[in-house]
Amino acid sequence: MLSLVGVGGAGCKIVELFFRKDLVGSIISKISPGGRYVRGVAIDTSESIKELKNIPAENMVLIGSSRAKGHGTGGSVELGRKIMKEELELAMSAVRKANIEKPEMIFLIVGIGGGTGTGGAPIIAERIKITHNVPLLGVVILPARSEGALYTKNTFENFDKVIELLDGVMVLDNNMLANRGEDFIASYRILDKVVFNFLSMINAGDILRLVGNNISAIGFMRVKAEHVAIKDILDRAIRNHLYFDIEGKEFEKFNLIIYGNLGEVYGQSFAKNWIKEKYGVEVDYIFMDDKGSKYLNIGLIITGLKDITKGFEIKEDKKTMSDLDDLLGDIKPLF
Amino acid sequence: MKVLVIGLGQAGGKIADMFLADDRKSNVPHTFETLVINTAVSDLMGLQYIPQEDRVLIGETAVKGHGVGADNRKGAEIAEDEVEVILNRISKTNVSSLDAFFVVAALGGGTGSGAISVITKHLKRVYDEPVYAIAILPAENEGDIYTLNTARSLKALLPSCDATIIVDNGAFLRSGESVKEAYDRINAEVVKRIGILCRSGEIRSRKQVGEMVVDASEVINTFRGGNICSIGYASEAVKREGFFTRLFKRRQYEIGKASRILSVSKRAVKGRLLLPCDYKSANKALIIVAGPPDQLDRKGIEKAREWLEGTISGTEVRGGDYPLGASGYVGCVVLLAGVTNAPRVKHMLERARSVQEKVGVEPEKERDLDSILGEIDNL
Repeated sequence: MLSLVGVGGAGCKIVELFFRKDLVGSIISKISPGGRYVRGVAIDTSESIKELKNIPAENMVLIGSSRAKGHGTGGSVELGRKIMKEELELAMSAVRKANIEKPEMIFLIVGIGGGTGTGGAPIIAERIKITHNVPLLGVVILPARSEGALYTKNTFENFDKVIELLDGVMVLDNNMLANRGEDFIASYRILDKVVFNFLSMINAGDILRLVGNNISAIGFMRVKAEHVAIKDILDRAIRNHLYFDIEGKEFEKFNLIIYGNLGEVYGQSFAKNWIKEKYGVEVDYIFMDDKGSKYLNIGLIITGLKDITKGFEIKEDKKTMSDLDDLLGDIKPLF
Repeated sequence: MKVLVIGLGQAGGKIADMFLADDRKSNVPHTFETLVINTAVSDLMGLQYIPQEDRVLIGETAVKGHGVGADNRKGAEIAEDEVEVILNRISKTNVSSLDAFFVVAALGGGTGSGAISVITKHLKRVYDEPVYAIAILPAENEGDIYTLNTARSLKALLPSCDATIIVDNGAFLRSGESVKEAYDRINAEVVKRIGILCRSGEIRSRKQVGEMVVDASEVINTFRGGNICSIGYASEAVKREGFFTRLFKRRQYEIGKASRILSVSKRAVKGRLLLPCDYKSANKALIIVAGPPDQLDRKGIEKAREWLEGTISGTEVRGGDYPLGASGYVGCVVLLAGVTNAPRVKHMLERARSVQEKVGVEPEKERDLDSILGEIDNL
């Protein structure tokens, strides 16, 4: 069973995907080992949360309606933090209701860079750690650089704070898709689906073992099960379906999860050597067999990542001095 | 973003009147609610749209409804005396649903010039919602007394509200135009720009929700600590396609949407500001691109925002779109907050300083008389 808590606009949209009632959604939730039961909570400061039609109403919480009046925080981390502190009980009541049975773990899903998620996530994480004594894993989505210096700055300053209390973090970088020519709104939609597919296919035990206590990048793709080499799968996954730039960054290990018709897959030791040669690290495989399936669901986890916020350095404000203040000082007051 | 516009004095009242007229015929009515306050009956009578109960006459006992005659100290005094009446009237509007107050006045005159800082000060004291001022500078040829009034009023106003949008009448004057025409045109510009700014975040039908909505909180965060603000606007006509053209058109990639947005927004910033100023000195900015949904290219908006981010002195630039179904234009509103280099304001202050020196220290007549009277023996 999956238990999700989405905070802020991006987080809520991902939670929404798990409650999809259309054909694709229902098929995926049937065939995948992890996604059969979903408990999800969506917490946001913006009234746009009402647009999420599939999440049951009791699992949606609009916080800060007095302070932000349903308009969101407009990228102010300080405001997001303040609102979450003030209305933590409201948010937690929904989390409690959704997790009456003790879940194996809870996923905190948050898009970093804005106000609600960036400011609110650490505060609700702290409380969830106290009230629910289960591992708390994070899915953190970094903003594209084209979203503006404000978002970049918020990310750089707050990333460590957001992940501080989490027992393991999966990061996805929206910039990867921006580099591939998508605008950032379209690329959020793609990332949402990646997170959905990834969390749907993977076993609770596996994910805890792999993702726990470190930061990892994840990728997901689906290929036709027709005599495929693992090396090709890996190559394609790293090039096109990994949503974090591992170039020039330190990491520990590759983990490849293949779920589907394993009769059509070959060449695991060759791929192992290939990765060893190319990146100097090991590959672990997790195979899950599903004989009837025509497709292979591929999940890739790169664990032990470091320097996540490299490249998010802030441009300093060019200070301009105003001489208007001096002039105003010379004018006699009105009253 | 729901706003209460409070128009003070003659010019402020007129703009509030236009806000109401514009609001009621727009696609999201009741974004703007209005209230006008004046010391002169004749100015209140001259308004067209604002209902009688929303026209507030103050200072009846002091000036008998004749206005204060460009004496802004008198205006401030009256506003301070009757502030409870004004606040009481404001509290009767639907304040809890409001996101901000806009207080509008011309700084050169008497009532508006004096009252604006008094009212912003008290609004800030009573309400949590942000209070913004729209301050209209007189044209340069309007005389010394107006300049001095403006400088004094601006000095009191800037620290008493969250941000001040300055409108320079002089920048919009054209030769061969009557005073009324010119003012009407400038007022319409103000109403149009602020209208787009405030309406873009209001959710209409589901079809018309923007991809990157500029919500009220983004506008408020841009204004925050803004001090002096200026708003630019430019637009370009686009060809509307009828039903049959769209049906039979060959599908092809349309070029030029993104570059049109970029060029329109550059034009808005460089040439068409309410207060002409050095846009590079701004601290924060907000871009809203309005137009038919198929013209609002996200890449273009991104590019425009990136360009502005690289140009202004600060780093906070927000941006978004505002889809308008039936529009034949792509328009771009740019809000610049925290402008520090505004030659027009600087020039006005310098001139006011020299006027002040010329007038000298005003003799304190009354006290003189009192002291002389004191020396006279009692009857």
